[in-house]
Formats: sequence, structure tokens, C-alpha cells
Amino acid sequence: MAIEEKTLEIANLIREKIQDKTYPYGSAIPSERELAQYFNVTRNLIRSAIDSLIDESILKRIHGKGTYVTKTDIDDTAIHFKGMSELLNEAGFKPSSKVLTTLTRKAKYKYSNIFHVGEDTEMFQIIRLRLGNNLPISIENTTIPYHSIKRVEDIDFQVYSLYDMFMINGISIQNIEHIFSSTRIHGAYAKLLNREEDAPIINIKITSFTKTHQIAEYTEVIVVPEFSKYYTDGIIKNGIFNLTSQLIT
Amino acid sequence: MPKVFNQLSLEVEEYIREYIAVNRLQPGDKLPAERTFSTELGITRGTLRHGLELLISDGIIENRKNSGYYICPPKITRELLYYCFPYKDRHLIQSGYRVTPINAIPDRIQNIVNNILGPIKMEKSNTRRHLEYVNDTPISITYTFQEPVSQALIPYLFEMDTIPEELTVTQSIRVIDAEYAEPEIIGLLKLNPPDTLLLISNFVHYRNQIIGICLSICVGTRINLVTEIDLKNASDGA
Repeated sequence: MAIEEKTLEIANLIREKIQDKTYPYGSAIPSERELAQYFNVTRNLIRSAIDSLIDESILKRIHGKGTYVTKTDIDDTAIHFKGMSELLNEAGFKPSSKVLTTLTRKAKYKYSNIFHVGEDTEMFQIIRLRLGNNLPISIENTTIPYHSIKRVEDIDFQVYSLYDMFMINGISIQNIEHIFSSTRIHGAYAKLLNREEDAPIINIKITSFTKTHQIAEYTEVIVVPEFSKYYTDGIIKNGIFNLTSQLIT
Repeated sequence: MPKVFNQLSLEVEEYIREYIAVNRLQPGDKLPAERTFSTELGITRGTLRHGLELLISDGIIENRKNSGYYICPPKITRELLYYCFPYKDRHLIQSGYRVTPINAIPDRIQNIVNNILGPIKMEKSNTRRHLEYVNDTPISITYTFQEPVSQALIPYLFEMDTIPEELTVTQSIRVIDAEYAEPEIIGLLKLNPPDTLLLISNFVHYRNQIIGICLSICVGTRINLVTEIDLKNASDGA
């Protein structure tokens, strides 16, 4: 049997085990060594079978942790900019993101005003660097009410998207408000985005509302000039404004 | 998980925003001395300044040499949907929007229009050049060009207060380096060194032709451009 056929066969066997929930969504599959033993094939073959499932976004390899079963590969930008990943891919940039930090904090003055909650309300914050072919695109600072997502502190945001978590927790977003402005970038953020200290930059404040007008999340984005078109370009038709990145299906 | 490098500056920024709101400081009011805040927060003045820097970059406070930090006028909210039809933007009008005609036209603006319409149509375009204010604060310089052929069909396109249904507008926002702006522009907009500029471009299309161009150099530090997207509309429109 040709190697490609054998790889396909193993990939399909792993796929079946994901479908029958032997390897459930959110868990790591066994190691390459274990799988090689189990299927009685070489590790190289297991590796290429896994690679093909990663290409299909069924699995995600997390460096130093293992290979995880994911439901979708929808990036969180899909919450605000539905077609962003596709637009970036079309332009030849493979999008990825890196979690800079996650923290649990009190709403305090700032977020109590944004979310209309008490200052002592627990909030969860996640700050991410977005990349395209390893070039920095943007830094996104997202805040959600801590209790809106179950066990949010245990979620590995390198593996799962907030988008997945909203789906699983029954949060569906109906309206998004975008506020565009400009600022200057300093310190660590300037270094991460590969900009000079004090360089001018576009910032966007995004608030997502649910059907019942609750605020699901609030995100502050700073985006480098080379990639700002993906975040800011829009079209007005029949009296309605839409971002170009929203109109991709 | 590594600590966010900028976390402390962000905390300082939040603290000072709260201070401004709680103490109801008004535009032109002075913030307490750096020493007061750094002692209160138990941080060095260097760290405090990183937080203040964020507020300066956002156009919330300004640093007057040898004097201290002062509160800026509140940012003006403008609807992206009506950017080139400002008379439709009720909130903007109520804030005290007004315009005065000007002469200055930067090369970068001329070049964009020239590239799209060509020199002849550009020459014959109905052109308007305005400095836009809200009360006494200059917020932007806006140029509109309507190409000659469409003037018979839709006279005074950019003076209307509704967007005709058959028109489609494509819009983009880019940051431009204020340091490279023409001295005339810097003077008209009364720019200060921390200010940053946005170039907002609107192209009005009628039956696959561009009939109007609206280019605006806008002080991003003085303005919030707002838009609300209904996800249902977004999927229907696709």
C-alpha cells in the first residue's frame, strides 16, 4: 500500500475516534508514540496523519503540551470581523495569535462604566498579539464578565477561541459597536508590534451586545498601518454601514 | 503566565481617568502635581509618567511645558455612516458643528483625486474645501470632489442631507504621520505635538463609477468615529 494511502487511512481512523468521542472535544489525543504502537505503524506515518487533520482544523498542536481536539478554527476576530481570517489568507498571510496574558480582576471604575456593573464585579481579561506570517498585526485586549463563561480561568486560549466559548455558553452576539480613533504607541506594545516608540497608530474600541442588549465583551484593538484596512474598511449601501471584513461568508 | 509589561501603566491610566470623573474636572482644569499621584499610588514618577503618556496620546490630557497637566475638551463623536454627509449626523450638529472655507490643499489629497478621476475631470469637479469645527475646536479638514458628468444627475451631491439610495460608498481609515503634514494644515488644525491624524476616504459610486470623492484629514485625538453593526444585516447583505 502506498504511504499516502496508509496516511489517509490512519487519519480517517483518528477522525472516527474524534467523531465517536473516544477523543472528545477539548482533550489531547494520545502521543505520537502511543498512537504508533496502537495502530502498529511508524511514528512518521502518525505524524503526517496528524498534520493532515491539523490542516483540516480538527486538531491543533500546542507546543510543549500535545495535540488537541478543536471544534472550529474560527479565530476570535470572527466575533468582530467575520471574514478577517479569510481576507488575510487571500492576501497570503497565515493568521495566528499569541496570548500575552490572561487575568481575573475587579471591574473598578473603567469596566463598571462600560458593562454597567458594580465596581467589585469580577472580570476576565485576555490580551493577545495577532500575527500574519509571524508579522505583527494587532494587539487585542478583551474583557468579559468573569461569570459569563464557566471555568473561564481553566480555558487554554491557545487552544480554544472565545468565540467557541460564547457558543458553548449560549451567548450570541447581535450588535457590535466600533469606535475608531488614533493614539500613539509606547513601551512593550511598541516593541511587540515592531513600531517605533510614540508611533501613531489606529485604535478601535469594540463593544458586543447580545440579543437582550447585555454587553458580552469589550475589546480594545491597536492595529499597525499595514494591516489597518482589514479592520477599518467599510461599505455603505442602502443607508447601512458594514465593514468589508463582515461581509465575507 | 507572564505579567503584561504595560499592565502598570494601564492601571495608572484607569486611576487617573477615575480621578478626573470623580472630581468632575472640566476642560482646562489642572491635574494635581505628579508627586501627589505617585505618592498616593506608591509608584515612581517614571511609572506614573508612562500612565500619563497614555492619556496624552488618547487626547484626554495635555502637558503644558513647565506648568502641568490639563484636561482636554471631550472627544467629539461622529457617525462614520454620515461622514461625508455631516448634516445628516444629528448628534454632530447638536454638538456645535460648523465649517469655514479654506484654500490650502495638500499634495497628497490632489494626488489621490488625480489618480482616480484624472486631471481633466478633477479640474472640472465641483470642489469644496472646508475646515470643520465643533464649537471652537478644529476637528478636520475635508475636501469633496464631484466629477462633472454626475452634476446634472445629482446636483450638489455633498451638500445633500440624505444619501440617495442608488449610491454606494466605500470608506477607509488610515493613520497619517502628523510630523509630515504641511505646515499650513498643522496651523489650521492647531495641532500639538502629541496629536495624531487620520485620513478618512469616502468614494461615492454610481453604477460602478466613482462620481464623488470625500477626503478628510481628521484629528484622531479629538474625535471618536462611531459605527454600529447589526450582525443580521451583515449576513443579509452578503
